Order: sequence, then C-alpha cells, then structure tokens
Amino acid sequence: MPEKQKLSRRDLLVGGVAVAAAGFGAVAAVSSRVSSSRSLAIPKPSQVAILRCESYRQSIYETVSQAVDLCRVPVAGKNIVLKPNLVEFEPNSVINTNPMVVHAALEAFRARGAASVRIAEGPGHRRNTLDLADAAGYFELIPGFEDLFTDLNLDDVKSVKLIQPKSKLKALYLPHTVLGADLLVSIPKLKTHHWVGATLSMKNLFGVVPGGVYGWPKNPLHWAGIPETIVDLHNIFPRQFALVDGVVGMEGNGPIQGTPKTAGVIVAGNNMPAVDATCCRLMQIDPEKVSYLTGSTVPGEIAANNIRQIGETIDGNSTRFALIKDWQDLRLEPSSGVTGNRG
Amino acid sequence: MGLRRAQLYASHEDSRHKAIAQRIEEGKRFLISHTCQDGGWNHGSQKALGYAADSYPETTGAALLALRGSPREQLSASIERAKKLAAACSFSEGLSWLRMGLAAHGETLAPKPASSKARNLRDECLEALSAKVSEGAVQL
Repeated sequence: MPEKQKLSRRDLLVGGVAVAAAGFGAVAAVSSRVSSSRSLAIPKPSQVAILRCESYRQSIYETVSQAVDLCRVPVAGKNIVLKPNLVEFEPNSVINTNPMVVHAALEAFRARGAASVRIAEGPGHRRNTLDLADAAGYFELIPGFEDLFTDLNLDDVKSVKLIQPKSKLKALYLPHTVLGADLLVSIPKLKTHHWVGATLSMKNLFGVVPGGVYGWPKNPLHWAGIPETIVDLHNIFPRQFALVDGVVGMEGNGPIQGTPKTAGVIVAGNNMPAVDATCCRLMQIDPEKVSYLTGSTVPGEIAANNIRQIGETIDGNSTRFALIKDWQDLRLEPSSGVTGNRG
Repeated sequence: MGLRRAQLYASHEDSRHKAIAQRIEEGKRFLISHTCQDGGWNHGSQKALGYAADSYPETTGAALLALRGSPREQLSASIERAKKLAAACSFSEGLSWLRMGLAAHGETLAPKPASSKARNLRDECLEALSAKVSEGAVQL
C-alpha cells in the first residue's frame, strides 16, 4: 500500500515540473487519438492530481490553478469549453457543481493565455437552463455569466458518426460549441449515482447532448444503454480535461436525492477514466466494478498501479460514501490495498 | 354528386374530429398517469429506483393548461401544488406557465413579483400571454 504522504505547495509545484513532460505527452497523445482507437494512444501511467480543499472559499482559486499547472494542461491560444454539472434548482443543495470551482477554472485558464473560455451545459431535466444556472449561483458569482454561457440544449448541432460504438447509437447530434472546442473541460460533482454507481467526469458528458434534439430527460441515451453511451460520448472528444468538485460531494441516492458528503478534495487530470477511477477510490468505490469505466478503458488503464497520483494520496483522503442497496457490491474496502500508485 | 361529396366530407370531418378527440383524451390520460407524488409534473419520471421525484413549475403549469376541462376534483392536488410552486418560484418562465395553468382551472395568480425577470423574447412573450390569459382577455 502506498505510504501516506503530505506535500507542501512547494512540493506540489516541484512535482508538477517533474511530471511536466509526461503530462504534456499525455495530452498530446489524447489529442491525436480518434474516437475508435483510444487503445492505441493512451499513455501509461496516467497522472491524476488530488488536492485538498476543505471548503468553498477564496483559496479554491489557488487550488484549481495548482491542479491546472500540475496536469500541464495546454492552454495558451486554445478555445476552451468548461462543462459543469447543472441539474436542479436547489440553491442550498450539493446537486450542482459549485460555481466557485467553475469560476476558478475560468480564471485559471484565462490567466494562462486561453484564446477563449466559455461555460456550456445542457441540463437533462430542466429546460430553462439560465434560470437553473441563476438558482445555482452562477450569475451571482461569475461576472458576465450570461455572455460566457452557451445552452447546449439549444445550440446549433452537427451529426457525428460513432465509430465502433459501444451503445446502440450509430450517430449523435452534438452542439457546435463543444465540437469546436480545442479542449473540453468536464467539471462534475463527486457523486454517487443510482443507475451507474458513480457520476463523474465521463457521465457529466451526458450534458453535452442537446435536449433540443433528444428531448428531456434525454431518454434516447438511456434506451441506448447508459454505460455504453457514456463510453461513446467520451470517445468522441479527443481533447479533454477533468476537474472534479469533490469539496462537498453527494452520497446515497445520487445524483439528485442523495445527501451531502464532505470529501475535501479537487481531483484533476487529462485522462477521464483515470480521474474517475481515482474519484471512485476516494469514495471507496471499486472502479473496476463500474461498468462504464471498465467498458471505456484499454486493459489496465484504470488499475491502481497504472495511475500516478500527484499531490495527495488516496489513502490519506478517501471518504466512505454511502451506497444504496443496489450498489453495495461496488464497495472498495480500504484494506484491499487497491488505492493508487504514488507518483 | 354534390350531396355525396358533402356526405363524404361530413363523415371525414366527423372521423377526423373523433380521431383528434381520441388523441386528446389519450394525451390527458398520459399526463394524469405521469403525475408526480406531490401532485405536479416534471420531465416525465415520477420515480427513480422507488424514490419520488419532485415536480417543476413550468411543466406543472403546462400540464394543468393541457388538462383544462378535466374535472376539478381530479386535479385538486395538482392545483394546490401549482399554487405552492408559484409561491416559491421567482423565475419568469415558470410563473408564466403556472399562471396560465391555474387560469385554465379558474384560479388567478397575483401579479408577478419584481424579482422575476424575463431573460429573453420567449420569456417576454410568455409573460404577455399569461397576463392576457389571467385577465380573461384570451379565451382558453
């Protein structure tokens, strides 16, 4: 089992430089892959950053900046789309990605020379997306939010053929905004999910599918197979970054009716399956039993020894998230030792 | 010949109206069968894994509007839910649909609160229409 370690900010920054070449290589490789051939391009091991963040306060801006630097995200001159998880109008709940995390990402990418940074989302349940974003605090916290935001449910779309799809779908209509992005940044909430076990950066991609084409709650995706569609969506976007809001997550009957659970982490990386696998381990869920993760990966991609944890360790930061009865078999016992490889 | 054509037209019209009426009744039955436990409507799923899902303002208002003419006693819980949603809703679209939905069952909502703002042309149109419906200037 990896030895529990604590790193100072300086250690983190030095560590970030140390993994720079590998991290950049990871992004370059991911960028060049095509939707049908992930298995050819995934580098091993993947790097995933875990950073402590105890609450939603000013220091989160520094934490998110560190995450971006540690993962060596290629930002300068890029058109970046931030995809938070907006689901429901519950101002005091933990259903939605906290706007402070999204704002911190916006500022971090701008400060590093991004050509443009937009925020985009297409909620699966509610049609009035701007009202939903308002209720979730986005208007209040993010200056000029309405000008920065694209409602993906109503954006112009283009048909994208799925090559070797895992689901029953042959093609998907997808919004121009996300198809035209140089980098798609998935910013989900750390949550359990009553249908697939956990909802993280990959499942968050359901929100790029336009309700204007597929209706609400996007049932054609459900009918085509939820885990399989998650995999297909993930394979469409070649340039990805995941930034998970795990400061306060949701346990139990997520993604809407669960209960808040403080985990105190921000998790980030260029390889979404690796990030999601790390998040599962942080929630004490076995990622190798989450079907969309096992279905999405090349052999061994999400194995603990193929993921280098940057920053904090899983062992020192895992939190037991309650699971509903149907998903008890996903439980990862800390004593199993499957908790990640110290980078 | 003229009479025959008139007869055919009449029967066609009759069957067309019957078909439409049948579809309307099917639609109403569908809506009733998809009522949330709280009396309102959401995107269409009342439950997920046995847990009741909450209703939304805009969908509840639209469903009540579609159910105009249905027996009020069948909809009393829905009307109460719509009133509760309206009291808590500060968004223009939701309030407009609720106003029209309640008006379809003889209920009038108070004027929209100042905090509710129309965000776009659609919201503006809905607000204007719902105000007219509420005033009785537009017949449902």
